[in-house]
Amino acid sequence: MLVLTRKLNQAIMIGDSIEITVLEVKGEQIKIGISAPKDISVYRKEIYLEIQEENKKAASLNNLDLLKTLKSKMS
Amino acid sequence: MLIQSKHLGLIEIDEEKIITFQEGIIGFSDIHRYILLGEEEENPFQWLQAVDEPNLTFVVVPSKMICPTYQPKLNQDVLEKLEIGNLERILYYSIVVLPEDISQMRANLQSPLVINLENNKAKQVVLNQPEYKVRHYILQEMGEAKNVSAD
Repeated sequence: MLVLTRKLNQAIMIGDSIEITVLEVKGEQIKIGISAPKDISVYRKEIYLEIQEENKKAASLNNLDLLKTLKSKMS
Repeated sequence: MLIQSKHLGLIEIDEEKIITFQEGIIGFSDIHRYILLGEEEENPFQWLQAVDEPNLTFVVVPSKMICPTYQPKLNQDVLEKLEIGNLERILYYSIVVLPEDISQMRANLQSPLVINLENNKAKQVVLNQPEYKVRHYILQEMGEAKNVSAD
């Protein structure tokens, strides 16, 4: 992993089009600004963990009887 | 080919219909081949069964069934990975969590399974559109939709 030290309002470029700026440092919280082209997805890492957990739940909870109940409920 | 499925037992599937998730599904990165089962006209819910793992199956639903205006924005990376040439030939499915308490049943619209029908390549994509969340409570949203149309 590349490690860079930055001060407030300093930025990092990734390629020509992605800029990451340190906007605010307040105790443990750091506010980061990201400007990137629209086709680049930016999300918090936690979202991955959340999706992973939800997928695992989905795989363990897919009772056939429930699906049938649901079907009769919807029709 | 014959495969063992969780809910339907031993079944014959058409190998051409096998869907390949090169990177797996998030949390199941080493399982790549799946097949959609249980298509019925009146019931939008289907199973996505792992071809090589009898016990692994997901309930899935076309994302548009949950959100008729569903319009994911796919980035270039996804278009390239799935070799998407024609957006009309893309299907979006949402994985459903189906707990005992049916009111808690939910579908994931933030990270749909994107399937390219041209080559059956697929990927679970994470969207960056705040209107689509990991948990959309299906019965509640359908109820709200009904209320709106009744007004």
